[in-house]
Amino acid sequence: MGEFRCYLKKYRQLKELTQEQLAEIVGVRRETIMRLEAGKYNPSLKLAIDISRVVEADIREIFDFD
Amino acid sequence: MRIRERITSNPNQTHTRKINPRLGILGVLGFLGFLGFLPELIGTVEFISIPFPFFFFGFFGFFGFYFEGKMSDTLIDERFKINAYRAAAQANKIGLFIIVFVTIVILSLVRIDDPYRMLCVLIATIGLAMGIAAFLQMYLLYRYENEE
Repeated sequence: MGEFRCYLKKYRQLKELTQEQLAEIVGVRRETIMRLEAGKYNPSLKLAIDISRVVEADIREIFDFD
Repeated sequence: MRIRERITSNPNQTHTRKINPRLGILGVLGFLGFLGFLPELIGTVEFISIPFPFFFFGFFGFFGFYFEGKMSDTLIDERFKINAYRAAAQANKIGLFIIVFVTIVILSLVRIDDPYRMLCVLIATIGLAMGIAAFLQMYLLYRYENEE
């Protein structure tokens, strides 16, 4: 797998959501969001779509696979 | 295997079960497995040739309750499930490797003529492999969950 970059933090802060709030909305743990933002966890398609819906951003803008 | 079954057999379960980490102390019951050597030590193999106490080595798996207890009431999200599958696969691979290694490598190199001793070796190996696999599932899951 190539390099994986996640810009979730930027979009989450634009929506004024905390990691805890976003985690609760999409049904995962805060630690999962934390690792996701750090680019240490590759989410499932479902989670990626759920997150993009919540932060109202295109999935390709949040997650960047080189 | 336990976590994997629990996740797949009960899709409505959202959190891990609540367990006191102190239950891990039950793992010392695994030492009961050494009772299997007792008939040989006191010289009663001819009268009491029951190798089943070797299976108690499997109780070493209860040490895993310590790590399961530390992960009590954790939300089972997709990352937890993936880590549980990873841990189960790795632990079962190690357990299977122990059984295969002992049965194929050791038993082919060391000739054991006595069927009772052969049974003892097999039961002890399977019990120990089971215990190690059960413990490793919890330990590895805990490690994967907390790795940086």
